[in-house]
Amino acid sequence: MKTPDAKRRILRSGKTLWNLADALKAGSYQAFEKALGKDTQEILEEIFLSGLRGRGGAGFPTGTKTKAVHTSNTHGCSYVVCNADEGEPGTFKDRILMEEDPHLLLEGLLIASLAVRASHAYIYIRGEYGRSIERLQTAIDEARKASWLGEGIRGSSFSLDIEIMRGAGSYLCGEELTLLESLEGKRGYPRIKPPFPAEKGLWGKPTLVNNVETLANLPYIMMHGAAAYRSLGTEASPGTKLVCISGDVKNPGVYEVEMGTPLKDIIHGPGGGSREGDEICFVLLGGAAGTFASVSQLGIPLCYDALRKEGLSLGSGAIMVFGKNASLKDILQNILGFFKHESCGKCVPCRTGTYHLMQSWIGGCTNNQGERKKLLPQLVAEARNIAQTCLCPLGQSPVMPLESAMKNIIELMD
Amino acid sequence: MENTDEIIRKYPPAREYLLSMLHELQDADPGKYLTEASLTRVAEYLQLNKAVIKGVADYYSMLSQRPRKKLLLQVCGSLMCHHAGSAELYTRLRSRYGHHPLISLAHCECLGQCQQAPAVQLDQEAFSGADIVELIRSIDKKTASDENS
Ligand SMILES: Cc1cc2nc3c(=O)[nH]c(=O)nc-3n(C[C@H](O)[C@H](O)[C@H](O)COP(=O)(O)O)c2cc1C
Ligand code: SF4
Ligand code: FES
Repeated sequence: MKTPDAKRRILRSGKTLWNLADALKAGSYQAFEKALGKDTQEILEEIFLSGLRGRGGAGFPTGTKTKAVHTSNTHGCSYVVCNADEGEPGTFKDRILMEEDPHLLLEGLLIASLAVRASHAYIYIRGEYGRSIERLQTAIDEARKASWLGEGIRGSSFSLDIEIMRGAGSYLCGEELTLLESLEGKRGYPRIKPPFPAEKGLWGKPTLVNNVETLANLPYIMMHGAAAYRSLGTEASPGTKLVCISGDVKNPGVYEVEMGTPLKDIIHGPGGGSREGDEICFVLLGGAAGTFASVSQLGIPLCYDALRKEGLSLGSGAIMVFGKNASLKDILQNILGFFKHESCGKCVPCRTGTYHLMQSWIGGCTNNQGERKKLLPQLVAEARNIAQTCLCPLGQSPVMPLESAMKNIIELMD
Repeated sequence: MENTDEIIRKYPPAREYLLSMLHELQDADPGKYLTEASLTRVAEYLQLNKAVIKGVADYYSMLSQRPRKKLLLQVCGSLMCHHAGSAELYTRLRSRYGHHPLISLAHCECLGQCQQAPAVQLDQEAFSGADIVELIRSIDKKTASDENS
């Protein structure tokens, strides 16, 4: 067997890890078994000390959230929900994890559920992810048969059932409170925060909502401890991150990189750099609800704080690379069209605002390049207004790509 | 094929299973949609107003209350696929399948297959736009049995 890459913690090597037998050989469920022998406080503390931050986009400290759910759970009823709705354009890491290593996610869910004393967990998954759904269901069935799920797991007093819930084609349902509405069998309209899910989530009960990749980090943390976890990454962004490289590079795909790795080392390392005869002109980080970076900004390390300081975002880990043939005009139009399409229409500023942003841009696109450069700041101002008056985070998103395009790459406007 | 009641009764009578039921009913229907009759049965089973059920079904783009063709062929039009030429791919597919009796062709948002842009999905199966030959072969295989019958 090849020595596993020391920097790979989530993307385990193995071709058929979706089989329980192979997953067990790769070490699956050992970390959970270890956690079963600990008391809840110890588990919570280990997650907290690891410094793990949410991989779904916001980067909120996972340990803080887990503790909050545990504290709110005074009536012995809480839930764990895995956010597997992955709809952010340019993002496909959760799909790869679920297709290739579903038991890793199940083990993460077991540990999280043990920590907050939940006996029921849900995986809310994008309806389009046929293969992920199939592999996860098989993994759940196999795990249940082998008593890694169900009543009194491994002879302990801990019980857990995991159910898969299929989404039905709404980007907004990836937002955690909207996701809970959808899980309850309702339309995907957002709830107003606060209360946060940790206080009042599914059916008003304390609920831990975590992204697939976040949960996939828990087995390592349980197995090796917070200090070992922190041996990679930066002080404020410990560990590794899955990145999804797409666009004009030689090797698009999902890669696990150490937090703090400069963007250019990721794009030129695993990403393979630009294709023959092309060159990298700009990058979009974090998806449609992300930010544009210029080539001169690619020395910035991939971690939450360094990027935020530059007005950039890590988001879901999407790194979309654009070469010489890219049209910034078209890309912005595509992004604005996406938000218009995905706005749920519940509040006026976002419903009419996202429509108007797109119409203005399309209108401006018949004009010349100089006019478009002048139009962009107007759109940024309008998007800021929408962000300040709308109900939920979706309406706060269009300003991010618009503003970063204006600040960082406006000279590349075609 | 299972009938409506058999499908519905697989789930406990709780609203959280609504989306799962609707998905399964739609998949099992020969017209690939939610019929009035099945929506009525779901409403009775969950003891909810039918208008509520229809409201939920209306919201989600994957659910349809009108008959559809047997296969759904979706072309991703999001960022990376657009950049990789999904518009041209869509035009090519439309000229081939635009009037096909068994195939609905549609645009969709990011399919999470951006590493192989432009991406296409045939029902639940993803294809790379570059591998159009394989896609066409797969479509021909899936439609052959119906056309011969
Ligand atoms: C419009 C919108 C879409 C989102 N989509 C997703 C998603 O698909 N997957 C995800 O994990 N988080 C998504 N999020 C973030 C979630 O609201 C939430 O922050 C996340 O599930 C928390 O988990 P984490 O702490 O493990 O990151 C989305 C947020 C917004 C505003
Ligand atoms: S901001 Fe947009 S997506 Fe959010 S509630 Fe308002 S209309 Fe719906
Ligand atoms: S942008 Fe088309 S699959 Fe992601």
